[in-house]
Amino acid sequence: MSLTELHLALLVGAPRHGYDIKQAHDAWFPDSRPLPFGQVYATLGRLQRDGLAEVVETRVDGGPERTVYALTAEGAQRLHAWLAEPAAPTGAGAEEIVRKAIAALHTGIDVQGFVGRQRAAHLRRMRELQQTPPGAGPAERLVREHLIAHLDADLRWLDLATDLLPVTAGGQPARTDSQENDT
Amino acid sequence: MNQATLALSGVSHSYGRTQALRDVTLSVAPGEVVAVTGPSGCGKSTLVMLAAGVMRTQTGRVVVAGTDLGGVDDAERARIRRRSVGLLLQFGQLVPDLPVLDNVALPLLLDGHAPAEARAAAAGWLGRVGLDVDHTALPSQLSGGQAQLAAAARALIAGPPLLLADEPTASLDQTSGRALLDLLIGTTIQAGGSVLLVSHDNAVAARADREVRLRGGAIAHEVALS
Ligand SMILES: Nc1ncnc2c1ncn2[C@@H]1O[C@H](COP(=O)(O)OP(=O)(O)OP(=O)(O)O)[C@@H](O)[C@H]1O
Ligand SMILES: [Mg+2]
Repeated sequence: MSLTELHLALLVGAPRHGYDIKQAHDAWFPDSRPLPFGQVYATLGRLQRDGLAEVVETRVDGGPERTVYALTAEGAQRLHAWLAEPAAPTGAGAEEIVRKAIAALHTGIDVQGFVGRQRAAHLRRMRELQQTPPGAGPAERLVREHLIAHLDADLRWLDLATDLLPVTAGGQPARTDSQENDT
Repeated sequence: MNQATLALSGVSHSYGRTQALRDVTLSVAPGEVVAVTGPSGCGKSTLVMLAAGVMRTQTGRVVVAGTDLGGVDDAERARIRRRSVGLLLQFGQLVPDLPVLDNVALPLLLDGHAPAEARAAAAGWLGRVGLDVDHTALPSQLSGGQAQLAAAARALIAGPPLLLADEPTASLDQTSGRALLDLLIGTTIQAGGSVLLVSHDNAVAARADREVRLRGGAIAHEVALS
């Protein structure tokens, strides 16, 4: 489960407290189940325990006490390592590819590199699946074609992610801080 | 590594004020299949036409089978194209007023082979690509997919060390497209040649050993697939 890394991604840019993190998560993934508060606090506690996040401030502004967390260098390293690995290239891995691509786009961490690695992982898997073993029957071929079609759908979706990246004069994509198309 | 069959270095190309390619460097080794992918208008066909010597190099170097295309005259470029390059273009590949058999035989006819011999070879290639039509039919009497098969036969007939294929399966159904791709790649690679394949289709790109992705005329990424 990538919830740990997702919390790290949500802490990129500025320190945040639990409520902010829940709000941002729900905005990043409008399609998924809202993140329960309990889970956010439990995850933040674990991140702190493991040295991936630290408490930078405890605010008491009238209401309940709010603990503000920031990413540590180790946490940032963990996040980069997560994004440096392509999601498992299986049709069932689709959710993970969405999480990674959205997290990469929001944080601006090496988006073009991520796209390249993910395309390579998917295309390699498609290449393997296209090599149907000799003697395989139509049913085996069809199962493979089903997986290939799912991988193709992922890649087509990933093309949209690439389209949202501005291209700078040198042809290198610029860092993006949001999913806004600012070209 | 062996000498590359195709090597582009620092290639840029403009059509008036439109810059279609920016500083592209890429090479294809003997026995290698490279897929060039990317969104519409990113410069894929421009790259193919420069590699084929159909268009003159503006900036940078294009070397095909050891010859720098920028360093030779038009006649020599045309000769290299006939002998060393099998070209399968995205649109309008066939000569409209030549029967399909002569269209396929054209590279051999232009290279001075005896007409009967060239036509016999063309008939053989029409069979291999699976095109079962009247050999005297004109291109206008073929379906889009049939015309694509005839163009593929023409690209393969001279046994070129470099096959350049721009969207070779775009007009074909999935099964015929796969079969044609097997033939294009299999024939060229078995003879020790190289294939540069342009496609929007991920299933086609997945057949390559390497993907080179263009964006806005520049290389966005290059990844090994095999
Ligand atoms: N003959 C031409 N005159 C002017 N502009 C051209 C010409 N040919 C191509 N272009 C421009 O150069 C750029 C690259 O075109 P090119 O045909 O190489 O793209 P492509 O990647 O092959 O696109 P597609 O996937 O649609 O075939 C585009 O902006 C196109 O409009
Ligand atoms: Mg094109």
